[in-house]
Amino acid sequence: MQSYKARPRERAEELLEGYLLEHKLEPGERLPPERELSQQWGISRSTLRTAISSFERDGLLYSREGSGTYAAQPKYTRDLRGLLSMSQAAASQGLVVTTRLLELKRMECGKNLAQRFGRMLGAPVYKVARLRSVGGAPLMMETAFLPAERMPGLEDKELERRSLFSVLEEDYGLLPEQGDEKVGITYATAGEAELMGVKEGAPLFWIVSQTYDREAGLIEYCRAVARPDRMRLVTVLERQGEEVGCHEA
Amino acid sequence: MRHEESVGPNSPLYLQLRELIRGKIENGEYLPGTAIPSVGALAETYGIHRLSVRSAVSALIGEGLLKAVQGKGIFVVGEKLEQELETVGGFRQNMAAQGKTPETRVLCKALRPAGPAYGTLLGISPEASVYFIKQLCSVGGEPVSLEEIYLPEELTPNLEKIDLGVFSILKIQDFYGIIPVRGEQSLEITRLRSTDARQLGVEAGRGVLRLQCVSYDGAGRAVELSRTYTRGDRCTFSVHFQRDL
Repeated sequence: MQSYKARPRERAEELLEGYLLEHKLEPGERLPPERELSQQWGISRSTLRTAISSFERDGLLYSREGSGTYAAQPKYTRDLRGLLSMSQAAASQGLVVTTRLLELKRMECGKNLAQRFGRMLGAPVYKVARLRSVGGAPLMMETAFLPAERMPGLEDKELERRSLFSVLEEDYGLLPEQGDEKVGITYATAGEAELMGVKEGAPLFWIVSQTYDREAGLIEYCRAVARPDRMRLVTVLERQGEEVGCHEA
Repeated sequence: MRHEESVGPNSPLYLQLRELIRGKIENGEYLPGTAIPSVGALAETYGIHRLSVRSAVSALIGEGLLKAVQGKGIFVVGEKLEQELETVGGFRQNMAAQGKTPETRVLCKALRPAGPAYGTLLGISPEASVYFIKQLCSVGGEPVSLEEIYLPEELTPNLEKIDLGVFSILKIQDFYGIIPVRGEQSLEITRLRSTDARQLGVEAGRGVLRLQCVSYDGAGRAVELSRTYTRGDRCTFSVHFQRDL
């Protein structure tokens, strides 16, 4: 059996993570001075500094010049189990979502969209591009495509004030019933970087989702980029067939 | 119930040895996941011909109690996993190279104190021991993900004797009667330290997907913490969701 020897930086990150988990700092609460922590943990200031900056980049801590390091706002948690709209989910986490409508237009399906929606070439779709921010900070940029004949007059709905899903449900009787979501990494283009407030080339979540109504089928196909320092995605895996196992025994 | 033909002093030696090995597996002398003595060693211990030993061993391999691994030895499998886990929710990993079998290489396997971070995540004392396993998963010779696994020693002891190249973590948990029924997963993007980045074949500053999973058994005990760092250019994750009715 090997004995485990952590490298100094690894150790520093683990200690820092342990500190945050144990002390459950409130957002804006200050971390003890670096000098104190490095002495207490027996690691060098520069090693601790490196660990702190990687936590800053991951959105767990932030520093203010000359004044210290603080616990960041908890990330917005996108729970993939339910079908809460982003505004509902944010509200349950005590956060407020604001929406900026970047583009809303009616257009004709090209080959790819037509195949995806099972429509003929040229069938009408809405393209809705929105920038979502939480607490005033840009979080996610979504471009959604929706079958236009299911929701005539979508242009006139106040999509900066109302959530798209509540418009679909309340005004068109469309109820998101199930869907799937694919998550990967992309790197910010110049345009995305400017809108999202990150550097060009910074890693972003790349999220493609499809949402279905029981009768209408696919009602939304959406491509989004999101800031990983402000969002995490969670879900729960559950084992099925427990009862089957019990009956066999 | 299986009906054993009775084996006695007058039975052929290979049958006697077969029952002897079976007995040692059943009474725990040969633990699941560990290797039994080699054919040569068994032949010498009992003073019987190697061919008889081979017959005994291959009968038990046929029954699924033992498993021969080329170049490594003969391992105790233990009880069979009932079936592949049938799961709902959760992220599925979609690999760029579909259809190829992933290979896993263990980079580190060590017993260490949980410490405040992993102790908190596993709900155990920071002084409690955990097995730390770090492994590199490759597909078609190309690294895809780096996995860090923490297992409480109290629940899965004696891991040093178990060959992780032969048995999966799920299988090992099964040896100890641990059935994970729930996994809380969280997907984030982070950047790797340079040594880890090199192992995975990515630039240090490049983002990687980090999937963390804490698994719980039916009693609500955390049985495993894993963090998988995945190359964004080789993998995506997907999940299916449904409205609770």
